[in-house]
Amino acid sequence: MEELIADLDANSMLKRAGEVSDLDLTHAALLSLVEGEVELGSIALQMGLPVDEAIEIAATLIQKGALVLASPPSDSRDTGAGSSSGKSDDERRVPLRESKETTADEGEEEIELDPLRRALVDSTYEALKSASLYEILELSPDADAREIRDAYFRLSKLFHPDTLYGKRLGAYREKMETIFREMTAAYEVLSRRKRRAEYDERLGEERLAALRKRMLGSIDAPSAPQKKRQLDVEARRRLAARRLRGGLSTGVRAGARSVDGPSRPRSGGAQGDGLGKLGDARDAAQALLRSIDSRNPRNTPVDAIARRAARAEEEERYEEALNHWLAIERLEPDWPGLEEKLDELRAIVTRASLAEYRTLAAAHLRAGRLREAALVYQRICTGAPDDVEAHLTTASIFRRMEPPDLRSARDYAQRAQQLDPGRVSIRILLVRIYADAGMKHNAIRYLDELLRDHPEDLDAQALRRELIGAKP
Amino acid sequence: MEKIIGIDLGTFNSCVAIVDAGSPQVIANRGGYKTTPSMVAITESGKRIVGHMAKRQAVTNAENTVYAAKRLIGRKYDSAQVRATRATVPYSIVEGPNGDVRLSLRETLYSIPEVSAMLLQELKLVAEEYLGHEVKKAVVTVPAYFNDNQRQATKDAGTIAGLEIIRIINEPTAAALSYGFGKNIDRTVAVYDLGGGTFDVSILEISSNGVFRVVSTAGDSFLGGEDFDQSIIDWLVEGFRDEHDIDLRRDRMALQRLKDAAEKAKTELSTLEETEINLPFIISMGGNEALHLQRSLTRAELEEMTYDLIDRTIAICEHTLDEAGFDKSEIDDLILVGGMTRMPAVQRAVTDWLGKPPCKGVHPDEVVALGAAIQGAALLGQLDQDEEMVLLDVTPHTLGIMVKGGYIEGLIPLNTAVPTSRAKRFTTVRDGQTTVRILVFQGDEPEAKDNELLGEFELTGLRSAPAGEVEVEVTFEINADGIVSVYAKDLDTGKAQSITVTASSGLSAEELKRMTRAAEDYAVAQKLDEEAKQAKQRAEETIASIERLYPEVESLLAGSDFAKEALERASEIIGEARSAIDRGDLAKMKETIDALDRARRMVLGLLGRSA
Repeated sequence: MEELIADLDANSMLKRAGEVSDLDLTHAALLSLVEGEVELGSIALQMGLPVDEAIEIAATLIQKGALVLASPPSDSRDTGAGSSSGKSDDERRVPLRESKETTADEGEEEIELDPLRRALVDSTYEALKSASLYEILELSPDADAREIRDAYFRLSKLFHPDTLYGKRLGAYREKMETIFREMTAAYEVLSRRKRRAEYDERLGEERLAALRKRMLGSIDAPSAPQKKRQLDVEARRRLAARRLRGGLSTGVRAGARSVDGPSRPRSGGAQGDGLGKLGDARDAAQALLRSIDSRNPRNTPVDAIARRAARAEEEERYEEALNHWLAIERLEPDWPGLEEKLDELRAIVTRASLAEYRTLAAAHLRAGRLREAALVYQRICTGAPDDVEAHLTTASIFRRMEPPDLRSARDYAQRAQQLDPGRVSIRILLVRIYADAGMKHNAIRYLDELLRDHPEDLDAQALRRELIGAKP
Repeated sequence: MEKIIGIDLGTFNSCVAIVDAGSPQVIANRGGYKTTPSMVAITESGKRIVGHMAKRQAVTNAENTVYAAKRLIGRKYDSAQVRATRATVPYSIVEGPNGDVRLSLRETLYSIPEVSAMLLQELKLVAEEYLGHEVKKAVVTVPAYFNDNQRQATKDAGTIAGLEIIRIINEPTAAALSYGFGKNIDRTVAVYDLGGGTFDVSILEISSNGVFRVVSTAGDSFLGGEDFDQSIIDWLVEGFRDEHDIDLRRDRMALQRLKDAAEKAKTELSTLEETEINLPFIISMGGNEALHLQRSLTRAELEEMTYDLIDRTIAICEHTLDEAGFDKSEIDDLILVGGMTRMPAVQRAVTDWLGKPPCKGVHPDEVVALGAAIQGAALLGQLDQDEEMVLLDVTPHTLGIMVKGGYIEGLIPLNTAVPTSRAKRFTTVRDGQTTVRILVFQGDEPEAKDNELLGEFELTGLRSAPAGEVEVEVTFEINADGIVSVYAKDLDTGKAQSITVTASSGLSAEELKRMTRAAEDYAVAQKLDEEAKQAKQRAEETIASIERLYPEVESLLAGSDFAKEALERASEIIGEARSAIDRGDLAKMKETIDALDRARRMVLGLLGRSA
């Protein structure tokens, strides 16, 4: 059992590096868990995976046609004061028009939008119909002006049609425009003190309290917009939020389409014959899941997980305890003492395994297995976020491996520079990464900054000659 | 990767930029200048010249040199603005077939989009020469206060020039994009843009995740540097009349010289306290007599005669800030754009108004084109991931329909974020009314006639009923590209009708097609012309180099039949080449160039040398 978990771990690491193109054990495990409509959140729990990763796996499965996103049941949301007052705030706003294409599956070939973004647009669009202005912007009724502005800007970058300019979006263009319009309308009310107060009054205390409670349980909405965020990461995060938010959620439904025949509806659940080559993996997955199941009964409430986490910690199974707490973080970020607990466990786990990881990394490096070394080093950096050397090494491995992953190299080098801003070797590495990536202007700009600080540095001077000389 | 250019098509100067390897930069023209005068002239031989070349010959060819065409673009001939322009420019403005404006240059009529297209073509060429390949797409800026007709006319100019304008953005917005690009800042900024012909002010919020949100925008598309020049011209003309009782305005050449002198004086007074205006022989009195104009102008005097213009801009600023719902103290940065913001009095007035000095390091002439290039790269997904941005723009004018009494009922108010849509219900006004005519207007005046008509359509087959009983729901929608659609629905029968409102540039579809073809033909002709010029030069050079060798051959190889024969053959080829040059026969010229080269090698061979 422990071996299987280790396998899962390795798989998720590989996946992060973009290596997994075909379905693997993790996918099979998830697939076999889906019967009828199931919430992704509960699956993540059952698998002991962070929700982000479960989403990622589900997205791959959706892409393969093995799963589809279920549309949210239309009556799952209360259509009380919130929805009507939301619209009545400005009676001139247009009610949502039925889009020409009603399902995501129609005209699929023509639409240039990955399934994840589609799912995101679909679920957001559906949710608009009965959402309060606060829900539209994913805010608590207690949000301050800054949070409101940040939420609007963050979501604009996800839903403004210009972000997908020139792409064939079919009905999704209109859906995105509608979402953006509704978000703007919500922002225009919530960002003006007077209009917001009027709206709150119309909404009523009861509904506000309900919203407050619901939003407190939500898992995302970072308080400040994070710089340099990838859209996909944002999309995933948001999707995860939607799944887990109690009555708001949509589910993942198995078996609407099979792997080998995307258009043909399948009768049974995910265990149907369409999986073919996945049979062996599925058997293994079943075994794995039975063992996981024995530890994590289905649909466990959060405090049950907490109890299990405590027991694991008592028995010094720190890694397991950490996983439990991470699951709790996704479900109940306001759990008392959560952050301290996470920090404590992370520190213990890191200390315990860092030495092993370093040995492993060294072995990979000696054998010239750069890709493997990079993956392990990534782990080390996660465990030791303040270790300059580890970050520097990770960055240069990413740069040197074949093919190089310059984006990751840059990220790690930048982190290293943050940790030790003065060190010339880090700055030179950054310049080289930029140069390798073909961003010569950036490279030379950074290099010139470096030369301004260290005009006599020979390496920097040599690099400058190299870069300028390399220019045609 | 397909390159997209950003173009600031200014009233007096234009500028083109690209995003190259993630960094935006302005492209210099052949003369090495980063801006190109927005001037187009037709020479005596019917040739078009554009930019600096056109500016240089403006005094001697004033009637056929167009400047400030932007003031006329997308306007009706009988509008107040066109009347005002007619009074001040030396070229001739006539009425076009669609009530639009045409320019009569050397007996040919040109539409304004055609003239603007000549400029766009020139800027496109500047970019193509720099990049070394063809450019087909552009983002072009216009004053924020341009209405849809003016925007459409600008798009048409692009079509004629063979450029697909994928987006029109507002000048102050572009300036803010360029200012905030790659900075990762959270700021509220005010952009004060006083250009050669237009004034705009915009309030924007910039967020560190690359979202630029326009909060409000306002302006005056007939207020700019030229009005400052005009103040100086009026002062000079009046002074001259007082002294000599002669109206210089009636002499077009004198007027052009006054214009140049006024602009120069104004520019100089941005750095000097006093300047001299010296125009000898400004007007001929018959015979050898001529009058001269010589006056000095101080900065204080200039400020005195233009303070009302500056006051007007500040009043608009005040209004915009109000619209945005912001307090002056909430504005973090002030950005100045446009050549006129170099004037100390302007800087002082804006600084006093906002209570903070303008940001340094913003180049007022280049920042707009840079912003356009950034928006182009962003739309095509060509920016670095770290720098991806999205622009949330607003409608600069109210969009509405005409209702009873000739008034405008606004549906989409100004400063509404696009994409947007709004619906409103209307009722019939007459008993038994079965059709409703829907006239779509844009503008902020209460009466329909004072606003721009964008389009019209009819909803027919309504139930015959007493006035006020039949309800019609009208929905306006503006998508991210700024395209306006209008839906009208009879709530009684559910019958619906819709149109996509195409703003009218004043050109019909056929005209646009014809002009596009004409521009293509002209471009081809020009290319052939250029080729012919080069072929001619090459042929003449080769001929000269052969003829230079003749004396040498004759002295060295006198009496050699072989040499004689060879020289005869060479002379024959030269004769053919000369006649091809005289006839202007490009194909023949190209052919003889090869023959000339062979002849040259042959003659060199006689002398025992290699080519």
